Amino acid sequence: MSDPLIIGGQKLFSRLFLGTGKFPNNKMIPEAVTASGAQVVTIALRRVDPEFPEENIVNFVPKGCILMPNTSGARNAREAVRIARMARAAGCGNWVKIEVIADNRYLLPDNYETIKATEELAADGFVVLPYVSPDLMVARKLAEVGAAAVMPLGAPIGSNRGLQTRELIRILIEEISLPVIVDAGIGRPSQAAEAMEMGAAAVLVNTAIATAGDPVAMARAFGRAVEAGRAAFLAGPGEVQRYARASSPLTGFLRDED
Amino acid sequence: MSFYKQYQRFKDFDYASFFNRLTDQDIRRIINKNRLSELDYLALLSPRAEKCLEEMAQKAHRLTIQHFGRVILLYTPLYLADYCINSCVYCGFRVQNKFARKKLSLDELESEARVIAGTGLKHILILTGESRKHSPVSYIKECVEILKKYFTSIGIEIYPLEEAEYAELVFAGVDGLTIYQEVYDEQVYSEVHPAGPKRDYRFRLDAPERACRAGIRSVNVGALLGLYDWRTEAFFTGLHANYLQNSYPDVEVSISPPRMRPYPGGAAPRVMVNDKNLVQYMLAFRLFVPRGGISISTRERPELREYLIKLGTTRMSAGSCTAVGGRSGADKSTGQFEISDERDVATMARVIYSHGYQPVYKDWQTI
Amino acid sequence: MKIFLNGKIADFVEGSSIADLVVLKKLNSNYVIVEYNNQIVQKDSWPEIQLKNEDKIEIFQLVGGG
Ligand code: SF4
Repeated sequence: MSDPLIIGGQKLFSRLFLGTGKFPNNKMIPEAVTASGAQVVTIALRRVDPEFPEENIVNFVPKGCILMPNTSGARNAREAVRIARMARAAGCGNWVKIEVIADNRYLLPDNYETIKATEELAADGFVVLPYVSPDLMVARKLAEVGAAAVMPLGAPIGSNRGLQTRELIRILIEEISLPVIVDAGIGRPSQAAEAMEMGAAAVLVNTAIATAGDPVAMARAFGRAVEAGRAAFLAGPGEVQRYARASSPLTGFLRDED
Repeated sequence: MSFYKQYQRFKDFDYASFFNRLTDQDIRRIINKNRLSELDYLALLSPRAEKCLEEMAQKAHRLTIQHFGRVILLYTPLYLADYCINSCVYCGFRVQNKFARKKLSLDELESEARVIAGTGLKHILILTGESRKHSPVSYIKECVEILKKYFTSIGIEIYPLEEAEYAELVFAGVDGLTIYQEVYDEQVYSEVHPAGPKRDYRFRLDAPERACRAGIRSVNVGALLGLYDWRTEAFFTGLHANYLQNSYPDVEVSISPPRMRPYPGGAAPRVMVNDKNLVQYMLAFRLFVPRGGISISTRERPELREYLIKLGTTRMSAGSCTAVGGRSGADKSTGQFEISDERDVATMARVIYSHGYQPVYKDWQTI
Repeated sequence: MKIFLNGKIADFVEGSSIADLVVLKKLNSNYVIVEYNNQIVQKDSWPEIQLKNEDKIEIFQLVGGG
């Protein structure tokens, strides 16, 4: 069955977005991308250190993938907008993950600045996927200013702690018409599957794959978990009965009329 | 934005074949879902779902208690005037009907208000026919000024207004709007509204939204059951409520499922809607919009109203009178339609208690 | 002549262009993005921009990230 996720006019058949940070070496990235099936791959923009020039990450991303530069390093909307424009000038296409972080202890995003950056970049033709703390009012606002998706965190970045914000994410999934993509915190394939079962449109995983014992094998495992979770969501899991069955019928008074 | 767009999406939908394809399993799966889609809601309104009413009822009952508690809000309608220039075929106030029309003077209003306030009610719903000549917005405002002294919540059920006029009334102290589309099917709408300003389908359809933009606190929409196929009408009413709730999250949205009642010399309903149909509608709506209010008026019979307490009802009218000036006795005129549950407020309160629910007279005060 | 390169003061020969700077720092011109006094400059205009005293140059590249 065809079940594409459409974002920014692009049809995606994989609902796993893969980050490229923290891999033991860049050569693993293409293998991990292929093994995971990911079609959207995130990258970042950094100042060059002329003493230690790095390889161009784009060379390690298989052709045909959508590049999604993030704005990591931005501490406010202005910086995020600047980074996004630079990434676009670098030929990354028009997707951008807005990430504005002014808190170095928990690395939690600044929702207010994120809304401002989203508004400006969406108006400028970007496909904007903002990374936020899950908050319904913020998500509504993001939808209003033109975000292409909302990416709530499951737990603080890199913490591998899973869906700590489960209930809040559930509310976003129920209330927001944009795709909800769980970003950050997912540490194991089972957690990715859980997010998908809940109805998340996709998940973004980086640390859990890049820092696994065997990143390529873990990428494959995540790819399958995401597929399984999505399939379960589509199948409509039976609801856990939380209430005992009431004994007295409520509709017994109705007789067949007519 | 307008609900009209949503209406158009489903206007030419093939309801019959959608209903035909549904299986019992589909219905059970939908009942067990946490969040229903529009089509899930439609499925629960299908003939197929009639077999699962008890399951729907159990869930609707739980959801209602979860979101509202075991509480029924009581309110009463107060008719200000029965002048009307419309020709709605189902209504006793239509312009063609010859009877002595009446409009409450402010003094008469005050005595009516006193009588009602004496029963303990704090929520009032004021009604008029459509006559900007006899019941202009300025008159409604004067009435609101008086009613504010007696009631903490004032709802209006009058002809549709412009946004600025709603804002004016909100400023004056109105916090609720009830406006029924009567019938969502545009064709039938035009048939049953043969003349008068009410022929403007869109202006009426968008009225609740204009009130939301004007800062109203609650809106109540509905279709008059009996004018057209109740399943699709219930479907559009639910979609309308859901649309309003999604677009204006700070507004409380509710529906009424009024069934056509006879009025002196009036037309019979075009479609019969039996008790089972009414119950199915309420249950399906509750599952679709768990936080949406459901208002049950005195149009319904006393025994049925009592059963409905546990089936998703959140508000009930009591001690109603559909004639202008009906309470303080003096000059009672012809009613808009016949009511069916004539019990007074104190009796209703006792009855509600006897079912394990608390009657509430006041859940809101404008500050 | 002194310019600010990625926030640090650096010395350059008078009259150098952005293109010269990129070559001098052994950067791969295909990968880097240059901001000249807070404006992104496309690669084709690098040879045309002559650096002046106290100009601000920021050079970025794409790296791994999540
Ligand atoms: S339903 Fe309302 S508008 Fe229509 S005739 Fe009756 S009072 Fe007038």
